[in-house]
Amino acid sequence: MFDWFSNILGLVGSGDSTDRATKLNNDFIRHEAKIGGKLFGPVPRNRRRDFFCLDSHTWIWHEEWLDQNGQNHIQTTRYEVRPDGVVKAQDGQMQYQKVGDEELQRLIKAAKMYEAQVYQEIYQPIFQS
Amino acid sequence: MSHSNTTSQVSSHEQARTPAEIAKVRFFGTVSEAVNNVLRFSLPAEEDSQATELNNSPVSIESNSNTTSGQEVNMLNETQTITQEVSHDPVSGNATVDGEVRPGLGELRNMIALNASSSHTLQSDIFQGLEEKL
Repeated sequence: MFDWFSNILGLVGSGDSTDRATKLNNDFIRHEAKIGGKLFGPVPRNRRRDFFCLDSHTWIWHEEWLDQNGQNHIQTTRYEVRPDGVVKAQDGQMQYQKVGDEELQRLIKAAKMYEAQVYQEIYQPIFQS
Repeated sequence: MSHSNTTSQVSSHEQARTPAEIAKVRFFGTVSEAVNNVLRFSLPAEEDSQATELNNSPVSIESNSNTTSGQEVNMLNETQTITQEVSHDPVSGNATVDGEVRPGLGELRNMIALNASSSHTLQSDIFQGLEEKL
């Protein structure tokens, strides 16, 4: 099965021990994405939602769902924070559009919730151990 | 854009890091910085002005903490939550999340950047310094 996560993270699954740090870092991101996907309320059946911080300037929203005909749909939205504003691109397109104020404020709110939630669920236990 | 591979590009120095150290870099270096980057575009919120008013009000958190009624406790929680948002300095100050003060991100960024080109000895000193701050 196609692993979109590995693709977007640029993870090379060599299994080499030298990749352990990379794999661990990416595993953190996978866990964050699951937590992030739940920030926006319950996820309906037949739907998968991930939301995560890819790097210090990029946020990813990924959604997969089955329609009534059983057809699979995938939508990935990439938000990039630039010095002059936030832009987004969907489904791998290189065409970026400026994010409107309302969507931007929702993104900001989500980012703040994300930070608090992943800290509480993933990182705080590690730091305290 | 070139951002897509940055998270997976871990330097050779990181091979020697413990999981906890990698977690610190991921959370304090990347996630917190990403949040701060996007926070720069926050509109002046109604909450913020309310927070200022609450912070300056004679009803302090300390005085509320001795109360037991549900209503007052809720008010305390609200005050704390709003205060956390206001105290989150996106540039260089300490961030307070869930009542926990974290080190200034500017300083952390410098330490992490320094770490990228440091020797292993210096690296361990840096993480020791980080741990003392956490």
